Amino acid sequence: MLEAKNVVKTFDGFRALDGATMTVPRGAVYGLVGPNGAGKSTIIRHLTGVYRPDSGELLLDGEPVWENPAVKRRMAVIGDDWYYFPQASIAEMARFYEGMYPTFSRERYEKMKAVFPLKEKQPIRRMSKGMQKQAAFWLTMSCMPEVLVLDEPVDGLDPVMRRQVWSLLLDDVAARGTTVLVSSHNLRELEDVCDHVGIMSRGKVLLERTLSELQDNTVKLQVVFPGEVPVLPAELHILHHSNVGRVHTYIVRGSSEEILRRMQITNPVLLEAIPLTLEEIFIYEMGGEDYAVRDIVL
Amino acid sequence: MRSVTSCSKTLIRSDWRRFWPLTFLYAFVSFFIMPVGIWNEGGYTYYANGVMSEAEILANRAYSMASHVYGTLTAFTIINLFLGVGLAMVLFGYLMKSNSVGLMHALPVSRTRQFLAHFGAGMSMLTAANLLTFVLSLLMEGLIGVVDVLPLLIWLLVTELVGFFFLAFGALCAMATGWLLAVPVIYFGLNFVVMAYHLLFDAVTALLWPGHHSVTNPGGAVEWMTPVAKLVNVLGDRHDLGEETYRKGATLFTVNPKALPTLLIYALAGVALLAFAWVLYRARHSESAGDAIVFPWLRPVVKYVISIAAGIALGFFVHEVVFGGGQNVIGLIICQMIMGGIVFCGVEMLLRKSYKIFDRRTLLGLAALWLALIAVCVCIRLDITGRERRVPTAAQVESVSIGGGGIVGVDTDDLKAIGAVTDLHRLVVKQSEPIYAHTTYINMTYYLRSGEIMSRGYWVNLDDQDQYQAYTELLNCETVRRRLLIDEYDRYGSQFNYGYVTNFMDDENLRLTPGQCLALYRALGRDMERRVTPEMLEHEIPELEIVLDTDQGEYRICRLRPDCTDTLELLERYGLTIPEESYEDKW
Repeated sequence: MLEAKNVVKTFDGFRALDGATMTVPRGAVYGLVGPNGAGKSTIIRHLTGVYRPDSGELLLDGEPVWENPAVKRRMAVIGDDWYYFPQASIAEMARFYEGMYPTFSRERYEKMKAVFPLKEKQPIRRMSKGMQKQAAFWLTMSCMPEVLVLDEPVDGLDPVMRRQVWSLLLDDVAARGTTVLVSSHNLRELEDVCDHVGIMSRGKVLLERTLSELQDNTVKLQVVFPGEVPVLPAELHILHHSNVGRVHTYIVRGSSEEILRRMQITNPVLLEAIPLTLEEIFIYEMGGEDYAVRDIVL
Repeated sequence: MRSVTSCSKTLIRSDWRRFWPLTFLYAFVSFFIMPVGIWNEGGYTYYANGVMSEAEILANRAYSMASHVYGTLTAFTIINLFLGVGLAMVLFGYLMKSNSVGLMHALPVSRTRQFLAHFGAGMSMLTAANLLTFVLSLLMEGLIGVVDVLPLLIWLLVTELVGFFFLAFGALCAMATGWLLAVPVIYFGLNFVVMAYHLLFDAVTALLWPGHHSVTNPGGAVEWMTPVAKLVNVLGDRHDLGEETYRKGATLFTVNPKALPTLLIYALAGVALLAFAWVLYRARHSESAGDAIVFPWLRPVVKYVISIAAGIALGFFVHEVVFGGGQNVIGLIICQMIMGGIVFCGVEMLLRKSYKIFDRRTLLGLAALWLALIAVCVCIRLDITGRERRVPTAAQVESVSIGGGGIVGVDTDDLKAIGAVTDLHRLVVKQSEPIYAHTTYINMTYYLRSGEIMSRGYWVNLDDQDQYQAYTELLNCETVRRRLLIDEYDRYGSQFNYGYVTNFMDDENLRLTPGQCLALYRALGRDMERRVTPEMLEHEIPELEIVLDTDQGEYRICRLRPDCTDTLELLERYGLTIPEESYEDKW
């Protein structure tokens, strides 16, 4: 279990993390989402032992991550701007990783040659951004880590390679129980792979749930009333309302059964509950944080 | 499971794979200086001494090669000065970029291990090149036929210690910044900051204190705090007892006895610098990559050290341009405030990474800087420390070295000469007006009984009757007067074997019989007794090589003034004339 407990980090007076707390359960694929500048990369750098917090704790199975090689040996990371030695080829970087990670598997490295269409001896700096990302996955996954931390991992990969990479990751999760923490802006993609989601804003983790809990907790209602819009039950926690003609759309927090039951008293002509996508949940949750999509007329 | 040692080895191997060209370059340069240089020295001795016996040739070769090896120590000190910062830049360069520091600090290696591994990689690169040079030099000596291991071992030890010191220094500088190009700036800045400040204060003192003149080599703490100057001085000051001594097996002769303690002190300082660098490495934040100075507490130190130095230096320069070298204290202070202020704002912009710096904090900082610059000028002018007015009593002085003007390096413990120097010194520091008149320069280094060394340089005002008189008295102290003509007149006795005189100006040679040697020696003695006036030294006096060989040694190098009539007449009689035009007026 990878944990951040009440982590605070200040950069030149700016509070980049403001008591961030999150828990990535063992074997979970945890998607960390949030607007730009929310602190996703900052908390990832803390969780991988790169940054030292001003206060708070970062733990893997109860052991602190900071300056703890035994813990770091179990983790591998692909940062948003993956670094390789300027003159190095994939083969040379593999030797480096092999020396660093006791779990590095040469067998897996050889097998993955078939997955990634890259020249092993070619200097990485000569490769395109997408190819460099593939190289990063090749090397990192060959380390066979217990915990894989990925910051914007599939940026620059083509759709086929994205699917290939996710498939490899999920195979690892299924076969070895690998824990994956992934931050991304691509919520549709995260929705397909994550079983846990954390939403960050302004240096805090606003909420974290399993994806199904999150989807069960917010409902999109499409309603058609017989006449004027009646007074809705006060117990409903409505996050958003819009309408097209007589069709009203409500985003309501709560379980769908409960909400449907309460709405029945308004005698609607049509009442339908539709599950929200992760993207919609993100937008409506962040709306409460003064982060809504603005209707701007130019 | 792999151990942490394995991770360190991986880091060291990785550093070697990436940065071996630097080691190769160092080894390549070392190859030309050492093995090739040794070959040149050995070969030269052989051909130049074709008439020698085999044993003499070998001894001569060994002497030349050892001299060459010891002679390279100063060059290797300077090479290591550059190598130290070069290695530190490449080894710790990953700290300067956020993505590289992200990779390295996410690795399962503690920061202490990483620091030691990278430093160890640097030392191993240095050592490998040194060992290769050592082995190749040894092989070269074997080819020449004279293997003398001790000078090479001393070379290896000295180069390793010097290399270690400068690499530790470089590592410390790399820890202070998150900007790669700032590493050499900080490194060379720190290497020379004390010397630079000394020279700047000295230049301001020379302007504000009439008669004061900068002393090029201040020695003491200033030299110690300028490692490269201290090491070059101590390693370059070789005690060459000559080939004869070398033949008798005195192999250590050419190393200054002070060199080893000095090196050990710097090596210990290197350990301290390394420890401090390690503390900073652990303390620095990874997110500081890209910052000019990574520690907030260090920023004001850097800002004020640079601004005050730049204020003094540039202000002094502008003052010289505007006021034409005249003494204008207020003008100097204004120039320093303007130039210091400009530099202060520049440094502030660099540290904040923004042009928007003009706020209350900057204004307060500027005010503090201006106060400091005014304080510097006022303190120097008022001689707060008493440095300028301080003249030791003759009783406090164990010996004195004087030079400058027509005096060629006199070291004496003669009480009369010491008294004459302190008398002259006392008169010179009493001057209150700028000197635009007839002057001569004199520098004096007192070796005080307390162990302190005190160096001063002054312009003596020869239009001032008291100073003229005191200077004349000094010139006519026996040790000084003799030294004006020939080095160590009485040292070797007067039983001569042969002699010759060479006038370098027209490449004329004169061979002397033992009788002629004795006559010349006596003529020199008579000329030495003549009273000297400052005017007699106002000529460029040609130096003759006079070799008067005795069983104990040789007299060499003589400076004949036009008033040395006995010697000049004798030389003319022997057939060597020094034309009058040789004595050019200095001014």
